[in-house]
Amino acid sequence: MAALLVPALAIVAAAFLYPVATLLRMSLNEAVSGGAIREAWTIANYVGFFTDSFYLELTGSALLLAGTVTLTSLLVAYPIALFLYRWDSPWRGPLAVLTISPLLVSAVVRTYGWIIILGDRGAVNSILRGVGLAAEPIRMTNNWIGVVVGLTEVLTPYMALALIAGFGRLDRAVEEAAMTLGASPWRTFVRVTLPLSLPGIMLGCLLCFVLAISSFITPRLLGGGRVFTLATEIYEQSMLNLNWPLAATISMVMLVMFGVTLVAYGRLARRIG
Amino acid sequence: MESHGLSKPFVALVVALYVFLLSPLAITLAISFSNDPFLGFPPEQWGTRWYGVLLGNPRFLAAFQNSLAIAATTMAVGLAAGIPAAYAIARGSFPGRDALLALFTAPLLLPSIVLGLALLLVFSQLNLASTFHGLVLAHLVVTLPYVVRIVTVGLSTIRPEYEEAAMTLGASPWRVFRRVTLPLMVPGIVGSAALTFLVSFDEVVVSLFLVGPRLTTLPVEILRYVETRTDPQVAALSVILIAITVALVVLIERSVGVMRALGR
Amino acid sequence: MSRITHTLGMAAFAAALSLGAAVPALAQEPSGEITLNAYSGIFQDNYQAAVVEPFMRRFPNIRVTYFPGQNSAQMLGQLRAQRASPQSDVVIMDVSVQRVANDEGLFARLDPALVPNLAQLFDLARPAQEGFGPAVTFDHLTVIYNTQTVNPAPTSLRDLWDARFRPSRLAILAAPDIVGLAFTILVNHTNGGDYRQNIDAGIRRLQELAPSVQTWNPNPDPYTLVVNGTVQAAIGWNARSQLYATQSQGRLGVVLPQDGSAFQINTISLVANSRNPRAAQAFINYAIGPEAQKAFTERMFYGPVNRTATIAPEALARTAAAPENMARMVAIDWALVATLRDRWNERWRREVIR
Repeated sequence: MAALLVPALAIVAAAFLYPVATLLRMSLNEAVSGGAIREAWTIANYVGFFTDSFYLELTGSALLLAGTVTLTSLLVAYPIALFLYRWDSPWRGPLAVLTISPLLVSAVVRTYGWIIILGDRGAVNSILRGVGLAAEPIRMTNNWIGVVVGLTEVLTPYMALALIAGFGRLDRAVEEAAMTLGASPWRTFVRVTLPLSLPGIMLGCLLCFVLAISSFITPRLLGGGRVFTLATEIYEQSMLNLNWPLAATISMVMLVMFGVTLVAYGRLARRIG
Repeated sequence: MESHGLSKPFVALVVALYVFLLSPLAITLAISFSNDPFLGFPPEQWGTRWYGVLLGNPRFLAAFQNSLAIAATTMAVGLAAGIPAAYAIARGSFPGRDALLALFTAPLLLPSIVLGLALLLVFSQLNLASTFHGLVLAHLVVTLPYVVRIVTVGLSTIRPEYEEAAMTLGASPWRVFRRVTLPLMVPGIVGSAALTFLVSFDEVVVSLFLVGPRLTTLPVEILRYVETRTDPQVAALSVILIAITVALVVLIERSVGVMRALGR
Repeated sequence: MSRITHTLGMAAFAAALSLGAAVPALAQEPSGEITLNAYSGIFQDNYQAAVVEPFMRRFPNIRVTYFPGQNSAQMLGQLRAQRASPQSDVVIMDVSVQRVANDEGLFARLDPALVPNLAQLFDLARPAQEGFGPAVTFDHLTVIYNTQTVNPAPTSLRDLWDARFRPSRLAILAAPDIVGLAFTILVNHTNGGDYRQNIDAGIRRLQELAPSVQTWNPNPDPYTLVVNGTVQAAIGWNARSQLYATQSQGRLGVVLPQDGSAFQINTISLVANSRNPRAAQAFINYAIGPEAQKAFTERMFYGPVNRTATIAPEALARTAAAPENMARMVAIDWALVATLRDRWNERWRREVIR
């Protein structure tokens, strides 16, 4: 039986465990100007990262971006999931598939779509100009707004997936019972529906937060070079500045942040569940 | 108050949210029929010019072939390695099976950008950077968790009584596997095969670190194109890719059902 | 003295070759496949048409694959990752980055017998480090603007600080891109600084520019953004600017800034451990030869590196080689800049980009 595990274990060992160990080792090396690497055992890169206000600010703004996008994704996905939960129609299944179908299209393409929509000559500005609302185009790309909008759309299907799965376990009769007993729709929602959907919300938020923190394509294409995330920084340091030790250090910091997020989620989930 | 709490404002809100969610795809479809040399909406001229340009673009064609070959190989190797592992975890009786499942799922939790860099470090030592084998190996790490997970879940829903009954009737273990277990595993296998193919075919961030002059993938080429040019050619390409994906999904839906295939 | 006779001899030899005389100097015709790693976008389109394709017609046994790179630094990263078995054979990149690659042994020395056209180069085009790849194009920094929305036209770098470009009317490619580095040096220079000492004056001034900058990472490039009106003005390179000026029928205006500009040199190098060094050097020889230089300059207005290339005067006037253009160039020691690059990049990201 154990022999059946060998091929899969070999793949995980060669292309996951060993590379991550190499990355950890690289983060302890020393970067020399011009991209050369000096073998060393030093935590200087970590000390540098945590004592540099630039990186602390960058981490802070990356967390803020991830938090914002998680919230906006929830605000977009929740009504959709709630609608699918309440809607009694044979089209419910197909509509659920449609909701998560953007996942089948690459994030590059969807971000490209947002460039066409939000650009100075894009759809939104054309409409605004057409109805005379704005003489000058409103800037929605090359900045934080563009990244938040694009990333929200890119991540909403994940949030929807988690919420739909969560609602799927609820019985529709519960809501109806609360209403029959005379509770107002709002009260029913706050007291019954929302608490019951909390596990789905938490799973969705975890998924979105983790994906947003490591997002790369959307900030790169919509950020105008001024929206830094940890992921864009890893790419920049490794591919353009050729500072592999620093890129490895930032990667390790990111992994630790992931670990902390997962542990926190586990604790919270246990308390709620 | 309408039945089931679907008030008009609420339905209107949901419609608006769907418009938001699907607008990038809709606009990509629309702009692919622009004849303009630049990106702008609405286009000044409509037509199919960029589809013609696309079909004569050898770089996209070569990258498309690479991506197909990589995705197909990843799928084949992924199933060959993942199904036995999933079977061992679901049916084996050795200790530490939960830990093993966690290990096989762990790469899913690794951000692609980190995995890409980690693989670049290792592959550049081993001369695997920008090679077919290297990219397949990288995509295997990304997709193996899906195979192991989905097939394991699929197996856990197959009641062992069927297998035991066949065994009692005197069938050999291999015969039981082939005649009883394997057919019941088909939806999970088809689902994980499709998912592996699509994930590999769409993978961009890890590949970005590993492509090179002699080997590049379609998503990376698309990203490069979007970064260095602004014309509707990528929209035309996206529409074709979306059509292929939809056809694939419909095919799977017809044969096993998407939700069943995904092990839900 | 001996160097001159040697050079003359080489020149005569090269002239004989280029005249098509039957010189059985090369034992066998080079053949096979090579990969050229160079810039993407319109550089690729034009280089492919003006140099790569004519080369393949001249040498039907050699197939050249053009692999575009984002910029020089990214190409260097790729060379490093593939050090043991490189996938490219010839690389065109900026001189400051080439220097790093030379020092790391990523590029190989050329065989003068295989690259006879080396003898025809202008002094400025000769390899900065003996034996390594020479210059292949000259270019210089320009101010570009949209002629329909910007009036009066800017004439100098200083004009970019005008209130009319606020807010967010400019596109500037940030360091570590060479545009950002050259711009830093020039701004530092016009504000009384010397980049060899420090760039404090330049950085301070660049900070004041930040509100006017819409994007520090123009997608797809600053020229397109100026032509389509997304921004009103930008910093660019002359060759691409000239090409876009023609293509946009004058919608893009090009200015050689009165307060100074800087040379940019692209080099062409042979990758160490190339699988086909013979064909690679045949390509390098062709690329710096008079025919390719003429074709590329007349098509894309890069300054020629070959003395013997006879270039149409109207094309030459639009290149960096025009004498009145040469006079405004601020001398830059790119070898020194290569060592300062990382530190400058850090300062840009911390102090300038907002």
